[in-house]
Amino acid sequence: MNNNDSSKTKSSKKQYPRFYEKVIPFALMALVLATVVILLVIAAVVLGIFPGSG
Amino acid sequence: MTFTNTIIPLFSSALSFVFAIFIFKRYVDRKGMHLLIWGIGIIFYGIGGFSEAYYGAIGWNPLIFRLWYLFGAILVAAWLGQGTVYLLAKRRWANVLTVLLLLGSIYATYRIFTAELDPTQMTTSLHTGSELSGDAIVTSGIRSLTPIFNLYGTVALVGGAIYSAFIFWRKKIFLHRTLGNLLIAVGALAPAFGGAFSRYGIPGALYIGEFFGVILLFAGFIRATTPMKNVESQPVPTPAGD
Repeated sequence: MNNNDSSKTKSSKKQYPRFYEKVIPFALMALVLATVVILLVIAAVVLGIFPGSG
Repeated sequence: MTFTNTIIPLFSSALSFVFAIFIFKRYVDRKGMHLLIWGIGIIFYGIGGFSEAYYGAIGWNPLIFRLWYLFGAILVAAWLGQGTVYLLAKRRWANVLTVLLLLGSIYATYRIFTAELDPTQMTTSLHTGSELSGDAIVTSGIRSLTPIFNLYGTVALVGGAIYSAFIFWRKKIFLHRTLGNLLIAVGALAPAFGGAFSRYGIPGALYIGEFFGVILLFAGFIRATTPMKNVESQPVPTPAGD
């Protein structure tokens, strides 16, 4: 019974199509990096390091 | 009047209003405060674009400038982000933040509509004066409001989209929503980067960033709300003998 349950779990595991499986993690990391950069820019504007504020 | 400072923001504005119709239609069909707030945010986006196009085509007008600065520079990101807050946070917290945002928006409206303006200041910085710039605001303290609203909006909208995409990707469900949220995150970042490049004097950067921003936000919304046929997550084939 346990073995059957285990095989059921394995066969029901899902994944995206291969292309998306490879691309999405990179896209997420790039977006996090871009967000950090833009937040730093906004923080620099708030602190008066960056010229202008809008 | 040039293509960059008139036609591009005009397209951004028109697309924003079409996008708003799509969002409000979905709100009417399905309800959900996030849709209502997003719709309001996209209307703000459209007002900002229209103001830019007006200035490019016709020239300086204090009312148009105030509308641009209020809706296009200060409120748009925060209100779009607030929609995402309704999607991800507990309703009570989202309501509290909405009240705070509303009060902040009223205060910003008062400050901008009572501000002293000088359009000649737009040509004294890195800007050429062919595009709208907050430099025209003479009264002190108003421009410091902008990054506060934008910080909140960026964290909520972009952070929320990345978080949602990550959750769907980790669970390997709703590929269309994963992709939609990725597009929304890129679309939300595009105007922010455009604004940053614009501060370094790159002509048209803000308007082009806004243009690509609304295209990607719209595409992301459509993608996230339209399931993909035959390419959703599939069961992993179990190796023989396992």
